[in-house]
Amino acid sequence: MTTAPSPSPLLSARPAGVGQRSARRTLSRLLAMRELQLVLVTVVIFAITTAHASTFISAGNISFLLADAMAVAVIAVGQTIVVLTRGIDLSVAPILGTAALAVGFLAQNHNLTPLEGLPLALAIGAAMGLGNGFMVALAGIPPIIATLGSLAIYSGVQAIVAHSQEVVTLPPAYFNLGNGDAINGIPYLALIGAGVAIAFALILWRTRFGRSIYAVGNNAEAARRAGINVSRVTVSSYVLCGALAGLGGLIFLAHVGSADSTTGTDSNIQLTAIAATLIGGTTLTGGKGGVIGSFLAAIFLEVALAALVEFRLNPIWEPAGVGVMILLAVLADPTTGRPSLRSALRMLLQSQRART
Amino acid sequence: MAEGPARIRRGLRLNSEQWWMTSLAVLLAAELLYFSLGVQGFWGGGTGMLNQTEYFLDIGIMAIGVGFVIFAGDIDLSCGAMASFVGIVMAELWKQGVEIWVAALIAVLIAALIGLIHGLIITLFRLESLLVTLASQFILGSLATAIGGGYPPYGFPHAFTSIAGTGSVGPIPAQIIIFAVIGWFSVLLVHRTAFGRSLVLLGHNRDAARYTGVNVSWTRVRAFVLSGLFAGIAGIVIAATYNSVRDDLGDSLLLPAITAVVLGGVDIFGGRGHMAGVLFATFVLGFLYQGLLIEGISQLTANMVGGGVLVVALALKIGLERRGGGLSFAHRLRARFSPGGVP
Amino acid sequence: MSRFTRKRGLRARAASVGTLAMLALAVAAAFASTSSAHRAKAQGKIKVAIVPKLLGLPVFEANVKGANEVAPKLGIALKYTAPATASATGQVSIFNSLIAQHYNVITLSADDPTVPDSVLQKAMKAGIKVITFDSDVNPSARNFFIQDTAYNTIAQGVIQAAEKFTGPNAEIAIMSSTPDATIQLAWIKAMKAYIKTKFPHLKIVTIGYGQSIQSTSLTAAENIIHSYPNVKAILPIDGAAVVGTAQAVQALGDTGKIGVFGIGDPLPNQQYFANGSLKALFLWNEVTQGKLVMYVAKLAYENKLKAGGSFTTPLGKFTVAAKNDPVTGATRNTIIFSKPLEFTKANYKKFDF
Repeated sequence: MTTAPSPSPLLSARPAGVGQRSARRTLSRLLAMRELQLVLVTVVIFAITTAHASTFISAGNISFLLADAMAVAVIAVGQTIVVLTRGIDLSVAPILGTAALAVGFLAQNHNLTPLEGLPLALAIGAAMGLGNGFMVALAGIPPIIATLGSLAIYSGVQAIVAHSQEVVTLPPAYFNLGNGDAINGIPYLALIGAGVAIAFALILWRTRFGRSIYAVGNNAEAARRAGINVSRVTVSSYVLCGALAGLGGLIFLAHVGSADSTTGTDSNIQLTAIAATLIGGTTLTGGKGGVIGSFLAAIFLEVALAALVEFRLNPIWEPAGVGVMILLAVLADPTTGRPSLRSALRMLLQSQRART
Repeated sequence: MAEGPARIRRGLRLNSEQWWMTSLAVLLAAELLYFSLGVQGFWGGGTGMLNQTEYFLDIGIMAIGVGFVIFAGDIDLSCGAMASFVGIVMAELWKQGVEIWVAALIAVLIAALIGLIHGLIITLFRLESLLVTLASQFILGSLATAIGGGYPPYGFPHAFTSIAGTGSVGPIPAQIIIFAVIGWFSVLLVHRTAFGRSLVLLGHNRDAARYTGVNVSWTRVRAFVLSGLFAGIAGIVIAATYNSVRDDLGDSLLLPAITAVVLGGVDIFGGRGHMAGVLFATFVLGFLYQGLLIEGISQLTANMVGGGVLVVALALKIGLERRGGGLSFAHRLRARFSPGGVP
Repeated sequence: MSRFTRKRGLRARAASVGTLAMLALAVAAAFASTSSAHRAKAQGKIKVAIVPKLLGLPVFEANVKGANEVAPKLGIALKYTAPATASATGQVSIFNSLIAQHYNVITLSADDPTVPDSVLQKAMKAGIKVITFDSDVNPSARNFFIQDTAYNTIAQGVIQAAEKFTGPNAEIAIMSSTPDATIQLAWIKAMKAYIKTKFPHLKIVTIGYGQSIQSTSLTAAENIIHSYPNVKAILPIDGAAVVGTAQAVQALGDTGKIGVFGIGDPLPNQQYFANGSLKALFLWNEVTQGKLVMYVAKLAYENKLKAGGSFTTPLGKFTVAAKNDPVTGATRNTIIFSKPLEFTKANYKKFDF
């Protein structure tokens, strides 16, 4: 098999580096950055929607949208780490649900504080992620199959934890955490989410472990030869993804205020997180992308969908909106060397000619 | 690549795919024996047992469709939504006065057309199939809800529900006949035609396929057309079986269908396996699920058992292949990680 | 490619051993859980199954609780089973397995009004009595339907309570589950009809859909509050929508400004009653309803119920509708369970469902 040298993951992940020749080139490079694109598009959507309905830009709305996006955002950060290693985790929904239920029941019946719930949520998520990691790295089961299996098993675990009960009454601390503002317009949850995203961005870019994640995703064989313990890195990525799904569960619990046996698995939260990962510029082929993009994409999706409601679009088109945005995001990625629409059409015509 | 170590061969000379299928057949037989003898109500004089296939053969039809795509090293996550969508389109056309069979045909052709669009987008823009079909799943879901509205039509003509759904020829349910025809066709298509050979070869190694003159893009596109087509047929069968449609009726079939493909021994990365294995796996999983339910076990537990069987089967398969040395699955996995692996 | 032709006898033989191990796993799992239905049969009891929309939803747990309280007295061996998610096809698989197990009566709350029809007709053909409660199927696919409450009564209750809060000239919004949810559609229709005759200046500006998911309902309700700043009351008419809407009103600090009046059970919403974001809920007593399901199951099994007739239970006297009634929503062979109860801040603590 080919072992072509791959460019440094750091450079490929951050196209806007040093040594620019002209300002124009810098600008076009910056515009090619997925993170910047997302910020710009989100701002434009905000501006257009506000022009249509002035309440859209109120501090209350911004605060709510940010808080509402954070469960998906945190899960998307975890999913990104796994996708960077060329994996995927389809089991995050029941991990989120199980963590939310476990913390919720203890909070409801034994006054567990959110701060005490945090290590519990992380531990539950990490343990479930560890199971996925073992299946992928040690048993060698392809990630999509392994996590498809654990999706069924973990959903059962969640139902067992729920035991036909529902979390209905939480201490006020959860509501304050899930819906309160640190400063006007900036909810606590957004600070947590941003903190997680920045921390993992730094880990990925600045540490040996982070670089080995990119290396494994780029070329596992080369990474192995370079002395990286590929199995350990892979297992770690699933553990982190699981732990972040557990944190997502705590965020979900605080924000929504309740949890039951189908929390997480009943909604599109898992697929939306994968969508955010892809829209954020991380590629399924691994080794390219980053967590900041996924974090911003989660906010972008939330804002875009809220704007659709503002423009009186029937909510049944929301899923279609997510689908179209996934396609647009990948088609608008100029860094992949993908053929343009014109050259694609030319290819199509030529192949037709060749057939006739 | 080096030849695997020489091995002593005894008894039947079967290749690994045939062995896997033999194992599945033995498993199926053992499962049926256990449920027939140990669980009241399962056997039902044979007819009862056969009738239970009505509740899972739709999964098998979808699995065959996804199977084509997986053979080529791609994946299609839109099949479930496609089946729901096709059912709704057929029902709405029928409500507008179109003859039901014509409506079904049009709906299935639309599904094949959407499959064609998937294939073209994926090959021309060189996008990941998972990504495109994930997006498509969202879009088809919205379309189905929009077209179906508050009260999707139901109560189709008896001839339709009987032939495509719950009818039977003597003791044999109509769905088994449909499934047998489709299954036979698909096995021949994959393992006896030039298209099938190209499909398996390009799933195995896209570059090698290209060098041997296979039109890689066009073969992949055709796999997506087949996937759309079979998801469409599954949608029609579901509509006929339940005598109604719903914007999410087919959605829950996707994951069991992929499970059946993989348990059937088809390599999720493409290029290896046998379509007949998918047919066996459909029955193994379907009867396991129905049998557990009839035994009085909750659906939750049955789902967990299904997930456990998938993981354990794959772990065993991979573990054994790994121990055997040579070009093992694990080796392929490693090879797959290299940049040339996925164009 | 040598890989295609290479023989792998030993390894594959080992694989077959492996698959047998899988079988062992499945069998072990099967043996691990007990099957109460089998045992019940020998004792000459009526085998009744109760199949709600899904496992673990508190309203259905309350139904099952009530059913379990009276089942032993009635000589009923009760089995509670349901799909893990609210899946119409999942429910059909369960009905199929209940037919194979020769149950005498199947009681259910349908995930879909038409999908289970053919399997339920198959059950009736096999001599099984089919009784729906809460969510009906087509009248041809069941023997009796226990309707929660008359559609017009509950619609009037919600609208009257909301109007008292908003005044007769106001914008209101509805939060429902999905665009094709049968009962919700019927309730919306009844509300619109009542508004038209009694409060023509109340305006329903939009209907949001929360997909019966709390988080989705929360987002949808929040979007409504922002998009329609003049909305004075939101009427969530689905369990998850009540939680989501009340949480949204509280989170946006609109408690007191926007009133939430809905259809749902009080237990999951205690915190919203306590903090005032939820004004009133309407529902029937779920526990008692579960009891009635069992009484009807026994009477149906004994062929003692007929259209147009009536029957008396310790819960009171009930009538079986003989024909369609567009006002209450009753169809042939429908038993209307009760008048709606109103839950407010004053009384919510008394109910455990």
